Amino acid sequence: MLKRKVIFVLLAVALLMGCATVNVQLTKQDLADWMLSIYNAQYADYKTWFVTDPATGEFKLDAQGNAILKPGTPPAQVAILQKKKAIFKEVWPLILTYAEYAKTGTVPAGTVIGEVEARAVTLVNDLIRAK
Amino acid sequence: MDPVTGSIIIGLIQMAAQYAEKVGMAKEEATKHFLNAYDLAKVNDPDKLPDAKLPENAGG
Repeated sequence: MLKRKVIFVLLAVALLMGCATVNVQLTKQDLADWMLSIYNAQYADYKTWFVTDPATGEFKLDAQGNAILKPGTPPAQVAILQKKKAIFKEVWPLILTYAEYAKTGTVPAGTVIGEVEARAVTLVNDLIRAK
Repeated sequence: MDPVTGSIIIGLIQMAAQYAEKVGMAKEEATKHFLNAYDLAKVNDPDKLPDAKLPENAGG
């Protein structure tokens, strides 16, 4: 059990540090799982930059209703978070579409799966490399 | 559960079993890992994330 946990932690760290990019030929299933794993890890990391209420886990808000960044967050990191949120919004529907395609071979009407795949891979790599 | 979601989950379970065999992981745990990744992504709606803004008085 401990060995498995260590493997998952190392994988998560590698993903968050940008060590994992796609340079090999993957099956559709492998590619979908890669996208899902990166997206989920990056999404979780994004949330860690904000102050949360320890009791509820909800984001704490300032007087203007904005979520509060953790003290000491540098402006450069704020810019990265803003870039990442824009990427999340664009890539999320693409990843879910691709994951469905990988498993069922079906896509919504009018979808060109090659374009979905190419754009999703580009955006996931952008998430990893965002600076 | 709609048919598409159902078939995706069945596929994920099969994929998890193959993965488990490769890495010697218990099938139940591998299945949980793969289902979690897909289900988690579905609920990880980017619109639920807050915007990152510096406080207006940041930097003095």
